[in-house]
Amino acid sequence: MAPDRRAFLAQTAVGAAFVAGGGALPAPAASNGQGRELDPRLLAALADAVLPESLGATGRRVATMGFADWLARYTPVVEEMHGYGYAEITYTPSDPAPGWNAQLQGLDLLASHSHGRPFAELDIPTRREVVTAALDRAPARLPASPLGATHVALALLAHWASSSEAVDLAYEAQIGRGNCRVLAETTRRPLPLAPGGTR
Amino acid sequence: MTRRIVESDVCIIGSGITAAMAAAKLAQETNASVIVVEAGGATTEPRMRTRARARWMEYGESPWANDHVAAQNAHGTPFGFSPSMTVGGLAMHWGAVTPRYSPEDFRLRSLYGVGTDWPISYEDLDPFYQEAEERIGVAGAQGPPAMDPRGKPFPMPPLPLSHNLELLRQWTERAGVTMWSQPSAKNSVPYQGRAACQRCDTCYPICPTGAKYAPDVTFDALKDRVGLVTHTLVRRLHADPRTGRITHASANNTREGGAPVEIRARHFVLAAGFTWSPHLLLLSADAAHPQGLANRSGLVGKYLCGHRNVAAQVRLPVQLFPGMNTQHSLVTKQFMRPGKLDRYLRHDLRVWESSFGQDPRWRDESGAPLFGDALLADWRRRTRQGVARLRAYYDVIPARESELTLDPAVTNGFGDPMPRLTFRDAPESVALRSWSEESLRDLFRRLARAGDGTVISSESAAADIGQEHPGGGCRMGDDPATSVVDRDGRAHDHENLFIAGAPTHVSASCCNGTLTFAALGLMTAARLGREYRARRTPR
Repeated sequence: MAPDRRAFLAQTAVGAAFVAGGGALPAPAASNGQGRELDPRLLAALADAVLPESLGATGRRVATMGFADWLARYTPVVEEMHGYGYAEITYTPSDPAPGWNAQLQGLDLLASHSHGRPFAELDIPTRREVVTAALDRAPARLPASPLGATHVALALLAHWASSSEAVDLAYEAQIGRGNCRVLAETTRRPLPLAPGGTR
Repeated sequence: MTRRIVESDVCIIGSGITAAMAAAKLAQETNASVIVVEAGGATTEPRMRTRARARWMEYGESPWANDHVAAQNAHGTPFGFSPSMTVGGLAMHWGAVTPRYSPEDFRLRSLYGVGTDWPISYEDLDPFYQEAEERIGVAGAQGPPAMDPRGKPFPMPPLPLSHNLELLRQWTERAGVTMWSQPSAKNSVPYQGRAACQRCDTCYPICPTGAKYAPDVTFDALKDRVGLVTHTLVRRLHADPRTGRITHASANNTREGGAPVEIRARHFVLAAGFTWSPHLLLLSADAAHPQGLANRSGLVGKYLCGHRNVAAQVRLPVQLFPGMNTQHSLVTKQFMRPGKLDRYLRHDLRVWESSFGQDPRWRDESGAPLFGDALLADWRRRTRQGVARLRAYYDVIPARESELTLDPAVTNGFGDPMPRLTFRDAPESVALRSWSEESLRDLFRRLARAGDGTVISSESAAADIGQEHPGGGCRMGDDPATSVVDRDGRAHDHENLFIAGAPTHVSASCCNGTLTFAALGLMTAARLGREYRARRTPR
């Protein structure tokens, strides 16, 4: 494992400790040993604009770091699951990081052109205007995976929305999708979320 | 290059679920020496499956490493064939849904005047179904006996109905459709050293705990009794031109520069699925058998069979929580046993929880952007009504021209022509197709109305040209002029060649075939086992 990958994981652990303790978090870093980095300042500014406010600052930072970690661990051109009944062998896409970084820079440029200030310095409603302009005619539905996203904003949203925690928030119940657990529990209606939307 | 020679009493070609069942029965109940020859190698080992599952969930990466052999693939159909060649075969990533066929499936001509009767009955197969369920480990609920006849209870209690499925079961009951827990090769309780299911909900493509049966478990348990010869592609069977007996098989290592391997055995069992079994027989043509081995009838590779489905999503005024156990379903055999029919339509019916139409989105219907809490609120609003996914597989009668042929334009690394698959319906199924599919859509609408719901999506099988759960290509029968193997799977033309499982199908019912493949494999092994002395202490 490359040193800066370890550093990233260490920072994630620090982040988790902050969440547990309710403290303020450092800005998310999105780097890894393969040079797959997203501009942390722009990514955080984007996250604050598109992720739910009700996650709170810490929740948004955790979601952002999760996305960055996901990107750091991504491996391009690995054989995908060939679906039952399909003979074709397909592969995961090329590294999305360069394109996503360019899109983050594009948000900054667009902000400067249209509002005279960098993206991160705009208020949230204005940032959303810029993101909306950048998304143009992207499909309304979020892709099931960030890899299906046409823009980094949708990739970030898709990564968060595909998490078990986000699904629980949407259904306001402790479903725990994708988590292995006791079979017998399945017969009961899932418990509601605790106040604040937690399990 | 040195030729490796492998010898045994019984050589089983292929290592999927049919081969696993046959190998286990022969090794445990007879004194025969058994080898299993597999073109691929072992895939992801059990201790790596949790990580493989995580990578699949996060990135879509295949959790099954090296599960196919380069350039060994079928062509001609956009759906119906999976190229898996690995120890355990395609059942390494099956969904483990294990319904039995119904008694009617074996008597279509007699009862309905369509298709062809099998030479065996449901009652003949019942003990082998039971044995397969016990060896694999099937959790199932006994349906109403009139719909779901069986000689003995399931070896395990059913997977419990989730909160969602119980609500959906009550709904279908109101519509007059009796449904129950789908039988599955997933442990509802600890079974034969494997843990109970933890509803990780990734049964397909990978179970991280081993609660779902996969054939590598059987081969691992048999490792002291069955020789597993991997990375060895059998390319020809050789028959004595006078006696018709198979004398040996020629193979090549799929690594190590393709080193030749000769396999000698008293009996050969071809258990390589509906594609590679007829493919090998056709490849093995010689001067005495110019159409290929076992092919006096000209039917090797013919009558490939399967079925199609019609599916729908129904919105219901009840809150569901999709994600509790997405891969488990309700099932009924009510429509597989319809009694007398004016027009032929037999089908199964399944119901799952669904999140269709509830996906998060960043724009609403008016095109207004949704970010932050507005996105979450919109998502929440659309989860308040439940959605059920319905699917009905319906029976398709195969045409003779539903076939596998050798395609000289596409070859593997050894220069062998690869198989070309063409699925075709018999004329009676062609004539009934539109009416059948509309009848199923009517059923879905009736179900929706019974629950004050709405059909919000309906689709016919995407696999328009291919078919699901395919079999056939070496169909069984009593008459050598109209079949390739007899009722036990023995080739009419070669007394020491057996063909087991999927390829021997006459028709493919209207539900998953894997349990029937396994049961047929056991039936073939039972017949072959009579050629050997019984072990004093069977399994």
